[in-house]
Amino acid sequence: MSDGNEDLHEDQELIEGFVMESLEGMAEIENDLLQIEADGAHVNTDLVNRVFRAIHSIKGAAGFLSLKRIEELSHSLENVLDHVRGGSLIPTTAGVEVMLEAADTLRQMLENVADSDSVEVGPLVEQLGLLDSGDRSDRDEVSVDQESLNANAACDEQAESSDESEPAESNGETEAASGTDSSSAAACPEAAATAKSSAAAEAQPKSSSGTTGEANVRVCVSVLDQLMNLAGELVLGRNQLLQTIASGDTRMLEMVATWLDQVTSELQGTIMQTRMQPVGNVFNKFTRIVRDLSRTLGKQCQLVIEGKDVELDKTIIEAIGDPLTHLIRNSVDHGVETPQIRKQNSKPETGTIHLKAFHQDGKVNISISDDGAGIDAGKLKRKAVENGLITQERADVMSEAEALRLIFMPGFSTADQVSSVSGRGVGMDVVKTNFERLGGSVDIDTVLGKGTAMTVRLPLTLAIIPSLVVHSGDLRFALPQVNISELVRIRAGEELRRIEKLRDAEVLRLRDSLLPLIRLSSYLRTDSGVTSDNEGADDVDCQTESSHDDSSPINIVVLEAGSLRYGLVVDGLSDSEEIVVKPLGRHMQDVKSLAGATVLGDGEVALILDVTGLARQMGLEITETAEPDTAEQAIQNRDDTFSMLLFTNHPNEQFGVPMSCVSRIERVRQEQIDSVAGQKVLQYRDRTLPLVSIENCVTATPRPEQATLHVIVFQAGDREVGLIAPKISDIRDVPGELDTETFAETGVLGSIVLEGQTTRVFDPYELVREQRPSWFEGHETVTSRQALEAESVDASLPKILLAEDSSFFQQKVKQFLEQLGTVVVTADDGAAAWEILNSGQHDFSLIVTDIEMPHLNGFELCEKIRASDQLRSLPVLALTSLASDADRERGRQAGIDEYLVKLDRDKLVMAATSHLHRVVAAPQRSELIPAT
Amino acid sequence: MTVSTLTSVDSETLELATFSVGENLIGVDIRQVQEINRNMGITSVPHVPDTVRGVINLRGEVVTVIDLRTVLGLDSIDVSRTTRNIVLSSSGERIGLLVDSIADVVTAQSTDIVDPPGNLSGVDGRFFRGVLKLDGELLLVLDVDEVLT
Repeated sequence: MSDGNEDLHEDQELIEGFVMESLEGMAEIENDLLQIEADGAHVNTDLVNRVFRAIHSIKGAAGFLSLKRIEELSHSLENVLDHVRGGSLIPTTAGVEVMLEAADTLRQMLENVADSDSVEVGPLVEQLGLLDSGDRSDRDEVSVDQESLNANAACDEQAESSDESEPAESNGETEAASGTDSSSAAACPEAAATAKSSAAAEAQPKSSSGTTGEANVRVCVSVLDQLMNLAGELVLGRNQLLQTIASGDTRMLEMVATWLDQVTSELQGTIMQTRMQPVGNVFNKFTRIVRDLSRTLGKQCQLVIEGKDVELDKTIIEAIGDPLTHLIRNSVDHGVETPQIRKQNSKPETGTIHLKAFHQDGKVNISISDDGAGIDAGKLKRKAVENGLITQERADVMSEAEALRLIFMPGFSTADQVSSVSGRGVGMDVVKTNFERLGGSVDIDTVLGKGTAMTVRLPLTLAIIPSLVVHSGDLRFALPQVNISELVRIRAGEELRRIEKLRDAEVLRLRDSLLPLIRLSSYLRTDSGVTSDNEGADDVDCQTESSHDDSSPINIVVLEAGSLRYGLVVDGLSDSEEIVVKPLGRHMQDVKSLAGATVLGDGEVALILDVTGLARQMGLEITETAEPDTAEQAIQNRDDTFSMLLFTNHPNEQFGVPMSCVSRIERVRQEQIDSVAGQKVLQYRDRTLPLVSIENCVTATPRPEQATLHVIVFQAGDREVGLIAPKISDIRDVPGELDTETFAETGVLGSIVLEGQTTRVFDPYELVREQRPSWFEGHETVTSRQALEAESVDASLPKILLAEDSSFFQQKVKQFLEQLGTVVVTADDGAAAWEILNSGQHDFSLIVTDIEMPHLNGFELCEKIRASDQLRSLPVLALTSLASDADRERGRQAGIDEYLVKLDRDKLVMAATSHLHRVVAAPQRSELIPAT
Repeated sequence: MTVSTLTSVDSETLELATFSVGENLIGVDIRQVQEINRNMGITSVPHVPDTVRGVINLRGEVVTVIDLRTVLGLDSIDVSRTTRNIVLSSSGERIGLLVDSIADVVTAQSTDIVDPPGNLSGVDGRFFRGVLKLDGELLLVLDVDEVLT
């Protein structure tokens, strides 16, 4: 290498150092200038000095390195600052605007230092000069001592230059953006060209500051020392290890291993520390954004930042800038009102946005809260309905919290018209996805008129993640723990009972939901050269029960990502390990089902599965989001549906029972069913479960012989009864309107046509009662005894008002209630019920109402009742097919006493009985025993 | 195309690491070779092109391994005792190439490399920068960037 090269190299290093140092100085300038603007005439000399010093050192170094344009611009800026400092120039908003612009340009020039001489700074210098001279001509008397001031300043500078490094963050972890960009740019011309174009792309000041092109990380010296120490320890440990292995002392080996384990964990922690950066690096730019945006929108906002020192992994810091900017802009644009409106609502004219970072539960929380108008959930619903995102019916039953989450739906916008600020097509859904990609989440909370708070929760790091290692054949995969919600093991031989096939898709019945399944082995097999030929044959996990059955137990990892939830069938579970995430090479970038790779303890590579990508690859998401057809969806969104378990007795005849009646489903073998005294029973859990078969109860084709069959278990009276259902086909939401005529028979609620097949729906109670009336006597006595416990016995029967728009449900519920010995008055909707109540014709003891009704829904009816002086104390029971927590909360607020699932006869009877007793007289005993 | 530029510049001494793939003797510029090893602990990766054999752990780094035979249009490699993994450095990333066996390092002048003939034995010509005539056989000079795209 020649001497010339050496020089060039040295120069390059100098320039790099200059850029890094200058950018560090620049980092604070923006906020300082804004503060100077806020201070106005009350100049904070210390603050101005700080900015002055930073600019001054840039000027000095630029002069030394003969970077003419940078020198020129910083010189002019320095002059203006000097006058501000001397008090001869009052910083006005317009003035600061020019200074900010100069600072922005300066930063851009620094970031691309090789091309800085080609940047045109003339107009800016002129503006700065105008600012300078214009002021001086106004105040001639002040300008007299200008010279002496300058001289003073010069002295100050000398003194200050010794501690020039001080303004930079003393913890030393701020980084200099684009340091290497500029170095490589200078090194080769092609790279310079690309650097130029990227700089051009970043020309807008709003997006460029702070987070771009982080190629250098500054590490605190003490951390570096610690790393050095640990490296020393590691070397020592290795030597010990080699010695011990040579001597073959196993006891010593354990000690050395423990020692190495400690050192590595500590080393890991310290290295992680070097990657941690204060979140202030991102936050700092927001002051400017809020200022600029509120000026554009004619609003007054101030940003209060807390927790700048909270540290996050550098990859996360880099990625949160854009989504956070979006949230901040939203707060200014949609949250804070105009000064006029704020005044009207007796709020201070200046809105406040709090940006705060803090630690909680091992995660970093960032909250953005404003004291603005809040979000109107009703308006969100209207917008969503207008945009066709949800149906009106769905909107009506939506809770406020659910409605708020509408803003995260793709395609949702509240902006009435597209402005430069919002409605640009980048929605909150993107923000949410961005945070979720980082393993984080966003929540929203709002009080109308008071303000909105968005809370972002983020993991501390992405580089090392806790994971579960699973395997399929001899291939091992890591699954991030954050995505794992639970592990399910299905014992050998139970596979057929727990895992069902719906068309081609496998589903797992997990508690009360159906979980779609993906087999890891089939993921590996599909159109790739990879095969796992020895499927679980040599599993350690499987060995344990392999004697039990020909098949092995099945391990299912239940995975979650956002709204996606599915089970992954794996051959075996290995360890839970902290893994270091390594990127995959460029040939594998397109594989969306893989999030990266890691090296396991034995030195082999394991791939990290991407939970969302895997589901997409296996075509799961399509069934998740796309609805089969709109008509069916409309049915699901209506309240008057109930969930029905479908099964066949003879393959050609389909039957259904309401899910609300079903306790559970058992799978049994034919030989487990005994026939005792003409009664079929199942020996089951140390008890005898009486069974009924369909053909014995109603007119139906007998079931064919088969080895295994299902038994639907339900509660009849105080005992369990099983209904033989040879083959379970599906669980579906079906409309409540049944044809009660065609197949009228005891035990049959009605019939419905599903996918071209007539399906008879049973009422299991009726079915059993018809066959074994004696079983119900015990139960009824209990109920009537409860009734007798109430003291007064009145001859007049209690009256119940039933509001229900579906005639099927109306009829059914009326029947249940009448069996209790009550008089039931029916109303077809809430409005009719309200009329009947106010007519004064009846003296009701209880109101049973549906929620979803035309004209006046159940909530509204109840609210009206609670608001009325005469009716206030009436108990109200609500019947619904969707009883989510949010619905219950809404109901509680409306004043509903109890929530009941439709067609759950036992619960309804219990609730009705207890409420009747509480309020008025109990009916006579004889009335309580149903006619059958 | 590349040959014209090659001949126009001053002659440069090249060292080529050579290896065999099927019937062919192939060489790469030794400056691009990071190391040659027998690391066959390859983890296969699902849903990738056939040319990607899998990934290996190279001292803590996860490195993609390409089966050069499939890239050149031959049957995929049968890992044997002579199989070697040539780790190259390309665009800042390390990538391994599986070859049937390795041979010597050959020194040549860049001006001696000529256009590849049209009838290479069963392999795709676009992956070669040129051909070098050795005593009794031809050495194909691999275009690493073309192979690794």
